[in-house]
Amino acid sequence: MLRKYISRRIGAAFATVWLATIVVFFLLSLVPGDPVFLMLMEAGGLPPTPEQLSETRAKLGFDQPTHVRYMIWVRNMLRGDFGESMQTGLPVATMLRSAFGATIQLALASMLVAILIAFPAGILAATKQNTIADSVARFGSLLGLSMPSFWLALLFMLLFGLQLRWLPVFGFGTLRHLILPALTVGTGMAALSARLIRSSMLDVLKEDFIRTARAKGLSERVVIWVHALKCAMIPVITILGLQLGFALGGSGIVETVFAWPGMGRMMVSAIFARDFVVVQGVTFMFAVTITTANTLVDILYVYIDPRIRY
Amino acid sequence: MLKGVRRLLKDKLARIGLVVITLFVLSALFAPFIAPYDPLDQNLRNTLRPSSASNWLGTDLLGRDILSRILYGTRISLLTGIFVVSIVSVTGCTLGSLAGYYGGTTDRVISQVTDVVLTFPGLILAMAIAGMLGPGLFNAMVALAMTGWPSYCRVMRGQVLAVKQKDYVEAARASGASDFVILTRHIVPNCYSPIVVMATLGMGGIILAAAGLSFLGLGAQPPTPEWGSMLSDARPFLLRAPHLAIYPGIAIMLVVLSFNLVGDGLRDALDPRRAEQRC
Repeated sequence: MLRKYISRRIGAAFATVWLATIVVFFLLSLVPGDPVFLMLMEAGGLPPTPEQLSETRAKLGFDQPTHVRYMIWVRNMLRGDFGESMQTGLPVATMLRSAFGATIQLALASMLVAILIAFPAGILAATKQNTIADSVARFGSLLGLSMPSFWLALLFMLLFGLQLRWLPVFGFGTLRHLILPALTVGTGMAALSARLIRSSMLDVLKEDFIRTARAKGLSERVVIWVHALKCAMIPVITILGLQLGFALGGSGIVETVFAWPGMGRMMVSAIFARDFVVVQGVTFMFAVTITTANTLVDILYVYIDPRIRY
Repeated sequence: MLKGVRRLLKDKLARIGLVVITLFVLSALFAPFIAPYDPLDQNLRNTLRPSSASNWLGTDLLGRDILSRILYGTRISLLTGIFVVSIVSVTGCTLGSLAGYYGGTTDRVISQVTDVVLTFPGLILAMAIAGMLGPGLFNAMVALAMTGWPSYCRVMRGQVLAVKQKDYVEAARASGASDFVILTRHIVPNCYSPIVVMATLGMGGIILAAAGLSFLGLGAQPPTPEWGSMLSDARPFLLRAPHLAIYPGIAIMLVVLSFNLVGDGLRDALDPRRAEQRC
C-alpha cells in the first residue's frame, strides 16, 4: 500500500513538472514583438543584422513550428541543457547550479531563524491562550506578515549595517553576509509559522492523553514540552514545506536588495537584460524545486505520522 | 450577515484596522486637497531634506515632497488592490464553482491548472509574466491577476462540494431549476463567507505584491508616486537620507496590517465556533 502511494505521489509530481514546462514555454509568447530580435538587440546594443537574426532563430528553433520547438526544448532540458544566456554566453544550467546553491543556503538559514522565533512564540501563545502574551503574539505575527520584505531589508541594512556597523550590507561568501538576508526572510516566515504552531498546539492540548498526563500528576512543564510538543511536531513538516515556498517566493526581492547571487536575483537581472532564455530556465527551476519539496513532505508524512495509513 | 458585522465591530483590533483603512481611502479620494504639494513638483534647491515645517516628511532626490507622494501613492496601491482582487476572486470563484458543481473531467482539468500555477512559489510566476510583458503598472496588475486566482478556486471548490449535498439544492433540482439557477441562486450565496475573508486578506497580499514588483522596477514607473518604487529610490541614500526609506514603508505596512486585522476579525466573526478556539 505504502509503496503504491509513494509511487503514485512521484508520478503526480512528474505530471506537474511536465505541465509546468508548458507554462514556462508559453511565457515567451507573452513578449510583445519578436523575442529573438529583442534579446539580440539588448545583448548587442545594436539592432541585429538579418544574418544574426536568422542564425539565432535557427539555433533557438524559431524556424520550426511551435510544437516542434517545444519538443526540442523539453528534450534538451531532459539532457540538462537549458540553453545559453544571450547576455553572458554561459550555459543557463551552469548559472543555475551556482545560483541554486546560494538560494538554498539562504533558505535554510532563514528557516533556522524562523524556527527559533516561531516555536517559542507559538507555544507560548497556545499555552497562555487569551492572555496578554497571546494577543501580543497574534498581533506580532500579523505585523510580521504585513511587513514588506524589501522594507525590512532596508531597515536592517540601515540599523545593523550602516548605523551600528556590525554587519556587511550586501555580498556573499561569509557567515556574516548571510545574517541580514536570513533575518529578513526568517522574520516573515516566523510570522506565518507561529500561527500554525499555535493552532496545532491548541488542538493537541485538547486531546485526552493530555488530560491523562495531567491527571497522573505530571508537572505542566512536562505535559507541554514532552507530551504535547511531540504530537504538535507532526504538522511542522508541512510548515517546513511552506517555509521553503515562502523563502523561494520572496527570493527575487530579498536577493536583489542584498546582492545575494541566487536564483531570484538571477531572474530579476535576466528580466531587465531581456534574457528570456534565462528567465525561462530559472522559472522552471523554481517549479521543480517546489514540486520536489512538496512531494518529499507528503512522503515523509506517511513515515512520521502513525495515524496516517494508505 | 448583520450579526457578523456586529461581531466584527466588537473585535478591537479589527476596529482599528477599519479606521485606518477608512483614513487611507479618504486620503486617496481627497489627495489633491490634502497634499501640501504636487507629488511631481521638483525643487532642486531643496533635495534630500529631512522633516521640516514646510515638508513634514522631508523631500527626495528631486526635491519632491514625500508626504504628498505618499498621499497620492495611496491611490495607486488601493486601486491596484481593488482591481486585482476583484478579478482574481471572480475568476477563482467561477472556476471553483464549476469544478465543484460539475465534478468529473471539468473538475480534473480545472484542478490540474490550479495545481500547476501553485507550483511556482510566491511572486516568481508574476515576476516572470510581468518581465515578459515588459515593466509597467498595468502589466504588473495583469501578472498578479493571472497568478492570484488559484487559492480562491480551491476554497470555492471545497465550499461548493459541501453545499451541493444540502437538501435545499436537491429540492431546487427536483423543482426543475436549471444548473445556472441552482449555482447562482442556491449554491454561491451560501459559500460567500470564506471568500469574503480571503478577499480581505487578499487586498493586503496584493498591495504588498504590487509594491514588491514596483520596488524591483517591474511595476509603476517613475515619476509615478508609488510606495514600492519610492523605497527603491531610497536605496542609494540610506545613510544620507534614511527618511526616504522609512515613511513609504510605514504606509505599506499600515495598509496591509489593517486589511489583515480586518480579515482576521472577519474570519472569527463569520464563524463564531472558530472564535472560541481562536485558531
